[in-house]
Amino acid sequence: MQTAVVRPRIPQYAQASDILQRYVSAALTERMTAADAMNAAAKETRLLLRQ
Amino acid sequence: MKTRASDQTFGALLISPAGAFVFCIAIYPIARVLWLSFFAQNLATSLQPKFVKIDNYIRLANDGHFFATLRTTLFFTFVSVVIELVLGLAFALLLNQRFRGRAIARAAMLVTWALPTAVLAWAWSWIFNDQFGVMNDLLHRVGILARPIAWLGSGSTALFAVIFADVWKTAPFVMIILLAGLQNVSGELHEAAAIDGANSWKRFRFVTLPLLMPSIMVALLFRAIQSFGIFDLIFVMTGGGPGGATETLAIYTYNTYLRYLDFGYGSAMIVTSFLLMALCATLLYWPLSRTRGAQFATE
Amino acid sequence: MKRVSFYALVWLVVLWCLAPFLWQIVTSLKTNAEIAALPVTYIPRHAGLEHYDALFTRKPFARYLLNSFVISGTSTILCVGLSALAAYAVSRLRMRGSRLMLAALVVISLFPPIIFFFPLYEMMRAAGLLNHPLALIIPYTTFNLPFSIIVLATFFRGVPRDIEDAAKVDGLGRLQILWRIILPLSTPALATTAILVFIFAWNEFLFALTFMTNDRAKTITAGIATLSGTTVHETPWGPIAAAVVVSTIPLILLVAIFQRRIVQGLIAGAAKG
Repeated sequence: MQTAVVRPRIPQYAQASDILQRYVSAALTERMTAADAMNAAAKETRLLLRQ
Repeated sequence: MKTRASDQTFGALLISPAGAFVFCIAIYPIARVLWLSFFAQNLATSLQPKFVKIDNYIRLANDGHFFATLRTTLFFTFVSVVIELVLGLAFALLLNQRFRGRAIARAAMLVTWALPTAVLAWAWSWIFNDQFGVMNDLLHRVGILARPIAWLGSGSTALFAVIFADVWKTAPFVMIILLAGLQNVSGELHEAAAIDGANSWKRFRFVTLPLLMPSIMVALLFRAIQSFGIFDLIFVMTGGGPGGATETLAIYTYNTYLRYLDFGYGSAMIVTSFLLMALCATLLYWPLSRTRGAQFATE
Repeated sequence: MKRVSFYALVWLVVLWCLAPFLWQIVTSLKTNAEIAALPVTYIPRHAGLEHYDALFTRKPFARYLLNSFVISGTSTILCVGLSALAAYAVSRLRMRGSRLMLAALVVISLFPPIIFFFPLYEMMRAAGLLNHPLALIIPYTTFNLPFSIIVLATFFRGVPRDIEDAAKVDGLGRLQILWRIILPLSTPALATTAILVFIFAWNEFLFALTFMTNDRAKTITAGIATLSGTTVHETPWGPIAAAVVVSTIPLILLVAIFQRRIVQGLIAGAAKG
């Protein structure tokens, strides 16, 4: 429990989490390279949080 | 001249109630969606509208999932509409024959068309159930499947299953439109072609099919637009799953509005997918209007 | 021989069309144990009506049915009434722009409902109409107007002008002509349109799903679609099958009685589209 981290407190948590989940799954199923997937996820999340 | 003017007033009076409904309930919402698409109105703005220019569209252009759902929608639309047209044409040709029990066959197809899609979606998810589904059982009995498939559990089979259900549900609609078209194809032309020695395939290919083309285009246009906005069948059968494999534009839009409460972004999504749809429909309608013109010209 | 294979084909098509529905009937009559038994049985061993019983006792199923009848019925009457007025104007009065208006209606009727649902949701919430039958009656009336105006206008054009002229000579006003002459002569068309609008309203899903969140306000289509067990793995297949059968009986009756009308109406609507 000491290593547990609280979920980030952002209003669009569900959206950000879904974006990440989709790209993690894309990387795991080797539809994308891990680097590409994480870059894309980061880009989409930034655009989301900018609003 | 006097009657003309009063016709105009009286007519306007008769149309106004229907017009008021259409304006408030159909036209205003379109304008509202367009307006909202330039605002951020989501959880980050505490659901208050904030003008953000074209930010939502920039987000959309970078949204991999939007393009994934667009691809799924186009694939679904293309495959299901093509199969429906072929099957609907076959049904129409069958029902165009005179035979005993034709009324029963037509009623069976009409029932299929008239039943609510959202309710029959349950029937299909039960048929495609992995453990107790009748599809697995039948395929197993005839020796095609050695082991049951979790149809709705993996992406490609789930997409196959929803297309299968959609074809079942809407082929009768295509049949009705084409049957009407077939009844305009005169028997005389067929007889003339038969006397000239054309076999039944040739008569179908060179007499029936060209005359049926306007009806085929109408059915194609209707079905393509409806498929593009498909919601109820997929919502009930798979919810867009597994892993987003059957998620269409309408499902993603619905989730953006009601799951993420991202109203501005959802609106941008609607405007964009609507423009894409209008583009596709125009590309389809263009040859349609030409075949119609040709039809009128021969009359 | 050729005749035999033709009939085999016909019955195969009929079976294909009815199979999913027939399978729901079979499932609804089975006991829970038999539904979850392998191998799958095609004729229930102990047919019973327990799932039908459960529908009406454990879920407000009678209420869903009542809601659907009230909402679809009211929308149908409103829609056909308003369309008859508009269709008369479009088809019998010399009006500028009526062709353009019909074309616009066709385009609007092709739009998928997902485009409208959020602004309408906002409107209904602002008007305090969520969970009220009007929240569905208003959109169902509106979105079926284009179709029924087009179908009715087609039929009204078929009423001979002479009859109308004779009535004018007799001193009837234009509203009276519509009410006493055109409408009675178009009863079949009005019935056809009404049946189709009723079916469309009964089957609508997206608006019913989002505007009616309270269980007692739901229509049968949305009520059934949101039936589920306590967990995802416990889908109550028996009661669902029973619900599917009950909710579709009104439609099957309509089709069985009026199939000729329905076909004519659909063709009239599509041909003009």
